[in-house]
Amino acid sequence: MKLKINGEIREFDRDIKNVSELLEALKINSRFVAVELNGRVIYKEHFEHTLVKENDKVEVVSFVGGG
Amino acid sequence: MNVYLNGKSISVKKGISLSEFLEYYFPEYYVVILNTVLNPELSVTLKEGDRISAFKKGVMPDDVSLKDLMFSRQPESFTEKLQNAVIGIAGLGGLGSVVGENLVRAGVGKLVVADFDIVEPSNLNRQRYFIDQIGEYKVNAFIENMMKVSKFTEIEGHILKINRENVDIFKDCDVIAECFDNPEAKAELVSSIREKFPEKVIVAASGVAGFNSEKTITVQKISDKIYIVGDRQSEVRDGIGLTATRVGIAASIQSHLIIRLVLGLEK
Repeated sequence: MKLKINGEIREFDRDIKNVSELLEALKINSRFVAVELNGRVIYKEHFEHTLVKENDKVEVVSFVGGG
Repeated sequence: MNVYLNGKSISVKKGISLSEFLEYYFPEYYVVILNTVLNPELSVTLKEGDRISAFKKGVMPDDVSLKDLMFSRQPESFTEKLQNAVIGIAGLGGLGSVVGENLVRAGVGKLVVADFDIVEPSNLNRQRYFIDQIGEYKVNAFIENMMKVSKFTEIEGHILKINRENVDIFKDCDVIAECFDNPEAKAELVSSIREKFPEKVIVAASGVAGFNSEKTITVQKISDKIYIVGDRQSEVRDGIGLTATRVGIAASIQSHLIIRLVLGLEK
C-alpha cells in the first residue's frame, strides 16, 4: 500500500486500515503526534476510526518531551 | 540634508564629518554608533539618512533616544519590521522564557504568552527566572522581568493551560513558538493551530534534552507552516536531564528562525 508521508511516497507491505495502524507501522507513539490526513487535522481520539486509503497524503509531526 | 541623532531628525549641511557633527550636537558623547557600527571612524563624511546614536555616560536617555540607542546595533529597517510583529509563545519554561527574552531584546512589538505554571526551584537551572520569583506565575514573572529589559514590547499574558478550545488567544499572532515540555501538549498545540489557523507558522521544538552535542540540534522544515527545532530524539527520561545550554541553543534557534520569518529572510 502506498501513502505520501510528509511529502515522500512510502510503500507499506501490508494494508493499513486507519491512522492508528499507520502510526504503529511508523513506530510513532500515538499520544505525541500531530496528524493531518489530506489536509484535515485528525485529533488523537479519532485515530482509530479515521480510515486511510491508497495514495492518501499524510502529514505526521511527532514529539518527544523536554523544554 | 537630514541625519538622525538618537532617533530624532536633524538638518545638517552637506559634507559635514561625524566629528564636526558630534562637536556641535553632542560634544559630551561617551559612546557613538553610526549605522550599527560601534566606534566608527570620526573623520567619515555623513550621508543623507545616516543614523547616529550617541550616549552620554551616567545619563538615562528619554524614551525616543532609549529606543534608538537600544536598537542602534541592528538595522533600523529590521527593527521596524520586528516592531510590527506579533508573536505567540506557548509555554514559558526553558524554551519559552529564552525565546521570549530574545524576541523582546530584538524589538518584537507584541508577544502573546501563555503558561499555567508557577516558578519552581528546579526551573532555575535553565529558565530565565530569579530566586525571589519562586511561587509566582511564570507569566507574571516573565512580564516583570521583561519590563526591566525593554519598554518597546507589549506583552499580553495568559495564565492558562492551552488546549484546542482556548488556542484562539493566538489569533492575532504572525508566528507561534511551541515551547512546551510535555510532548502530548506539543502535539495538541500543533494540531489545534493547524485546525483553527492553518495560515499561521509554527516553530516547535522536539529533542532538546540531555548532553548530546550541540551540533545535533537542527531545524526540520516539515512544510511552509511547520518547523521543528531539536534533534527529534533526545527526550526527558531517567538520567537524561535538561540543561540551560542545550535547551537554550534550541530556544535561540527557535527565536532566530522567528526573526528571520518576520524579516522575510526565510524562504
